[in-house]
Order: sequence, then structure tokens, then C-alpha cells
Amino acid sequence: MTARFRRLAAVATALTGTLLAAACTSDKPASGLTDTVTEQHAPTTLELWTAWSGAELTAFKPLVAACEKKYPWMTVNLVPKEELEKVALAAITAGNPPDAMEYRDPGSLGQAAQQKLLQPLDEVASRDQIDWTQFVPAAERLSTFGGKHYTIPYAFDVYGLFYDVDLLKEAGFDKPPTTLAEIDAINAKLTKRNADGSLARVGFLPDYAGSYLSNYAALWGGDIYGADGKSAVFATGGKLQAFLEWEKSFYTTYTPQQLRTFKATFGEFDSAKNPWLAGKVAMAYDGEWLAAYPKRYDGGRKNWGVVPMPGPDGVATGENVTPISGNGLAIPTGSKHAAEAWALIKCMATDTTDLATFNGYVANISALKSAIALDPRRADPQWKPFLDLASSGRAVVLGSSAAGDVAADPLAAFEESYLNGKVADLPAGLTKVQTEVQGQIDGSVGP
Amino acid sequence: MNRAKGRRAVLVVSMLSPWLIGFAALTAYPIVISAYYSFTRYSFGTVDPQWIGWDNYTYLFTKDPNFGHALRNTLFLAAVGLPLRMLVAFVTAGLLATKRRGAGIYRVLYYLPTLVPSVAGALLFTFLLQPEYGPVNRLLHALGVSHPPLWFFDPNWSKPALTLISIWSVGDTMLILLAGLLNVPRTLYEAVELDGGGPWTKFRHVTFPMVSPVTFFILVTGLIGVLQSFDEAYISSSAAAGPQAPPGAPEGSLLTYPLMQLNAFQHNRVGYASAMAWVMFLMTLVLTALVTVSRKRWVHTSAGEA
Repeated sequence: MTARFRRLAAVATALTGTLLAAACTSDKPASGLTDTVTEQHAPTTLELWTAWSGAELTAFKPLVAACEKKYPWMTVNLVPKEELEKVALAAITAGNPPDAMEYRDPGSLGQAAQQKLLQPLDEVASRDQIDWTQFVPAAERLSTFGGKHYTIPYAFDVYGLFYDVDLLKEAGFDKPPTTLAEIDAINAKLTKRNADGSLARVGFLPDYAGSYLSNYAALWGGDIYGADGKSAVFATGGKLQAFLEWEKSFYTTYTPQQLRTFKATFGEFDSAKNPWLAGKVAMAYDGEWLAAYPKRYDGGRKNWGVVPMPGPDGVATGENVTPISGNGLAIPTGSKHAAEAWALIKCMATDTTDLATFNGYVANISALKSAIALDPRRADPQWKPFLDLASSGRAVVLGSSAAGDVAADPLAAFEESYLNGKVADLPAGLTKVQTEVQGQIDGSVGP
Repeated sequence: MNRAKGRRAVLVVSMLSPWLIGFAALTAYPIVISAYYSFTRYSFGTVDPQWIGWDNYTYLFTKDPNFGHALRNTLFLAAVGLPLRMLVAFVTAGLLATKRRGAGIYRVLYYLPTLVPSVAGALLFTFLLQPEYGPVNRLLHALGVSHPPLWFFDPNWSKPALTLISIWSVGDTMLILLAGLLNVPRTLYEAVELDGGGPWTKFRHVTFPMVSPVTFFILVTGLIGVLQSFDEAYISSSAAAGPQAPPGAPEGSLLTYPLMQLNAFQHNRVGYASAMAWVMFLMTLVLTALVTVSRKRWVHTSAGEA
């Protein structure tokens, strides 16, 4: 009996030990990023993680398939992941990352660089003579931190001012607004109230779908973080303050309680009850994804257009900017087939035809200039402004911090307090938040 | 120790090894390593932790603007939400204890909400309490309330709304109390009746002392639960305020301490989040100890027991 038990016990110990060891160890990389990949390569299976899912994932597959065709030795195992960056973070820390991954959170790119989560691509890019100017400048800048490229861009988002042509006519405007004063005037004319005095419609509301504070900061010409990514600078220079003061004017035209009640009547953003789609706001400052909604939720709102969002006074129309965010492809630290993965993401990010089709399907903009030129949506007057904005030099990017986008939450919380009348001294309040954010950056990356 | 005993010890440890190794790797190690991380500047990635002494702790207590705020929110839930929840559980259990016919059906009905996952429950309530389309406000409108509360959209109403969820899922607490109530010997009530005592006397001198050990148990577990309360606040806050809103919206009224901790973790501030976890552990320990000390004053125990 004891002998049998001893054998069983030994097996149990060995099994648990092996399982744990398997969970904690990782294989040695088969190739480093700078290794060369020839045409006659040994068959290799690459794992690529993506955040796309459902129909959008299906649309993403041809991009991958085209590269498998180009490199017959390559087989790509495309793995969709929810919460991609977080799952990848755990995998990279554990030493078991995918060979390549999509990266769509530019706000945290600085942190990814600081924590060495992604491999810088500059050495191989210059070896392979990658011309970074083939990408839209702003999209390319989204790929960099501290002067190094950590992703290769393939898709991005542009923001613009959506308006309803008929409602603007109702307010006596034949053309979309080009200044903030015109926005204010249209807003005043289009505001409609219910019998009990509550708001039924407004012309414009800066935070109609939540806050895009950093987008407005870009529009006003202010930065959130310093160029080194180790300092918070949003309180300096008064740009963000100027925007907040304009935003606050909406909270004094109406009361915070009226706006709270009004916003509670908004339906789900991605639904037919979207406040802009449902006509609760006549103009909306939002990303190009909104352009897909009128067709997706076929109900009303057909006669609409889009223009660049007017900047603050003193900035002439046509000089104002549009902030962007976007998606790139990256090679995580610890990738087992880094050289082959580089061949894959390089191929995907420079595949003009498939990128144009894919971005058209998911209602994004291609980062590759040649794909924008090929985009069939050029012929669509409601899409053309986005494509023009995207390829113009007016698209800008706000930098990231080495601790990630640590300013976003504190700023949004401050904005909320300020708009609801809980902040007496705006500049002092902003400076206080800046000090807090600086403390967070210092706490994460050291002063 | 002789040879046979030694062999036996080896055998026992080997047989226990699946559990021992699992416990060591998945419970003991994380506890120890989180204590170490709390004294370091550390983020997940491929960069090693950097020792910074008490910096994380001093930042939390002296500089973090959310600390006091989150603590106040959590204390509101402990001081208002928990007693209310216990009161409702007590009243419901009391009613069920007197009911004879169909008592089983009612017990099941009251217990059912406890089986709903907390995330689903929170989502359900954000729908029920949606100010414009939700059935609760429509009912209030129909009853003539012209400006019903905005619930999760209003910083003044968000915490009461959260308390409603915890009251709705009171079933588990109620069931424990019900067991306690049904265990009170009838003879004690008869004795009070013989002495001419009314319902209040029965409650004051029989019911409450007899169920006080059960009450103590639900108070301690309830307190720990409230300190860790997170899912409902997280879900209802983000469901109502949208993805761009800062955690605990509106105006930070739903920012509980665990939510603040999750935020640090999500921003990959592992060292700082670990320090917060240890502070939370110590707070829970102190509060539980205080309640345990107070036990002598109000918890009735049978003669001879401590």
C-alpha cells in the first residue's frame, strides 16, 4: 500500500511542479529583430494578436492573407483579444508574448516604451529603407515616443465638426460655422425647450458624448505633456484654460442641472438614439466613426456634412487643426520570431490596396498616404473632408507621457467639477491638477 | 523522529503537494511579493522594480487627491448603506419567520436576487433607474413626481441608487437572519407573554439578544464586503457616464477605494496599487477588530461561553 501511495505522491508532486514550471518559463527566441529574413525561409507560424472582432476581424483577415501569399513560408495565427493591451502586458511580463501585436492605445505608448514592452523598430526600418514619409505625418508621430518608432501605423481616426444642413438653415446659416462665435450664435438659435423648461435640443454641446479634453487642447494649441514625456504642462500657457472657459459658457447659458437632465435623455452612443443622430444636438465634434452611423441606423439625418472644427479666435479658418488617434502594429519584447514578425507587419502596413479596403470597411482612415489616395470614399462628399483633413498638415497629435496617459482621468474629473461650479479659481485649480499629475509621473518613472 | 515517522511526513507532504504548491505559488507568493512591490516603483513590463522606501505610502496619505474622497464614499456606504441593508434583512426575515403558509416560496423569491451576478444586477439597475427611459422614473412621473431623481447621473443621488442595489440583493443576509430567528425557542416568547410583555419587549429582551451572534456575523462580513465594494460602483458609474468619464463619475461620487486602486492597477502603477492594497488590508483589520471588541457589549452568548 505504502509503495503505491508513494508512487502516487511522487506523480502528484511531479505533475504540479511541471504545470507550474510550464506556466512560469518561456522558450528562447528563435530569431532576433535584426536577423535577416530571406525569400527562402524555413516554414514559420507567427502569432498575431488583434483587438478586432466579429465582422471587422473578417475584414482584417485579407491584410494578413496578402502577406502570407507574399511570403509562402509564413503562416499567421490571427488571435483576437479583448482588452488587447492589458492581456499583452501580462504576456510580455511573463515572457510569453505573441510574435506581433496590434497596438491601438497611443496614449500609453510612452509607458510601453518606458517599461520596454515593445521593441524599437528604427534599426530594422532604416536597414530595410522604410520611408516614414509614406505615412500621414500625424499617424507616424503617433508611432513614436522619445524619438523612436515603436509601432508601424496602419489606421487612424480624425475628428471633425458634424452638422445638420437643414437645422443650420433653420437657424439662418447657409454655411457651416468657421468660428466659435458662429457656433455660439447657431447654438442660441437652435436651442429648443420643452413645456416645463427642460432642454429638448441644443445647437452644440462641447462635451455632448463625454469629454475629449485632449482633443480640444490640441485644437486650442495646448499640450498635455512636455516633449520629453516626463512633465505635465497643460496648465502652462493658458490654452487649455481658454478652452475650459469657452466650454463653461455652455454651463452658464444653461444650468449644470439642466444639462445633467438633458444628457440623461441621450440614448446609447452606438445606437439610433445617438444624440446627434436623434437630433438632440445639431452639431457634434467627434471622430469619423460617427460618419458611418446615419447609414448604420437608417432613420433621419441624411442631409449632413462635416468641416474642420473651428479653433479659438485669432486662428484663421483653414489653419486650425484636427487631432487624431490611431492604430499601429508592434513587436513585443520577447517575441519568439521577431525578424519574421517584422516582415509581416512591414508587409501589412504598406499594402495599399488591402489597407484602403479594410479602412473603408471599418470606417477608419488609412495611415498610408497611397491608400488614402485610393480610398473610394473620396467621391463621397460626407467622407472627403476627413480624408482631406487626414492628409493635410493640419492633423496633429498630442504627445504621450512616460507613465501613460495619467492626466486623462484627473483632468476629466477637474473639468467636471469646474463645469458644475465647484472650482472658484480656474488657473489655480488647473495648476493643482498639473502638480498632481506631475507627482504621478514622478511616482511611476522617477523625477 | 524515527525513520518511519520521517518517511510518513514525506509521504503526507507529497500527497498534499498539489495543494501546497498551488497555495505557495498562487496565494502566499503574491501576498509576499505585493508587500515588496509596495516599497518599489514598479510597473509590469521588462524593467525591474526600484526600491523607493515609504514613498508610495506617503504619496497615498499626503498627496493623492482621491484618497480622502474615496474613503468618504466608502464610509458612506458603510455608515448608511450597511445599516439600511441589515435593517431590511431583519424586517424581511421577521416577516418570513411569522409566515407559515407558502413561506418557502417567499424565501426563494427574496433570495433569488442574490443569485444574480453583481455585474448583471448593476446593469439591470442602471436600466431601471435610467432617468429618461427607465421604468422607475416613468412610474414616478405617472405618480405625479415632475422632477424624479437623476440617479446615477446626479452626484447627490448616485450613492443612494447604489444602496438600492445592495438592498435588492439582501437575500443571503436575510436567510442567515431567518435561520437565527427560527432558532429562538418559542418558550422564551411564552415566558414574556406570561409576564405581560408586548411585542417590543419580546424583541428587546428575546429576539435581539438571541440573534445577536448572527447579527455580529453579518455585520463583520457586511463591513468587509462594503470596504471591498467595487463591481456595482464601477459598472453603474461607467454605464451611466460613458467611457470617457473619469472613474467614479458623476463628480467622483461613486469612487470607492477599491475603484481607485483598480485605476492605479490599470495604469500599470503596480507598486502604488500594492501599497494601496496593504493599506486596505490594515484598514479592514482595524475596523473588524473594533467591531469584535464591541461584541462584549451587545452580543449575547450562552452562559459559560466567552
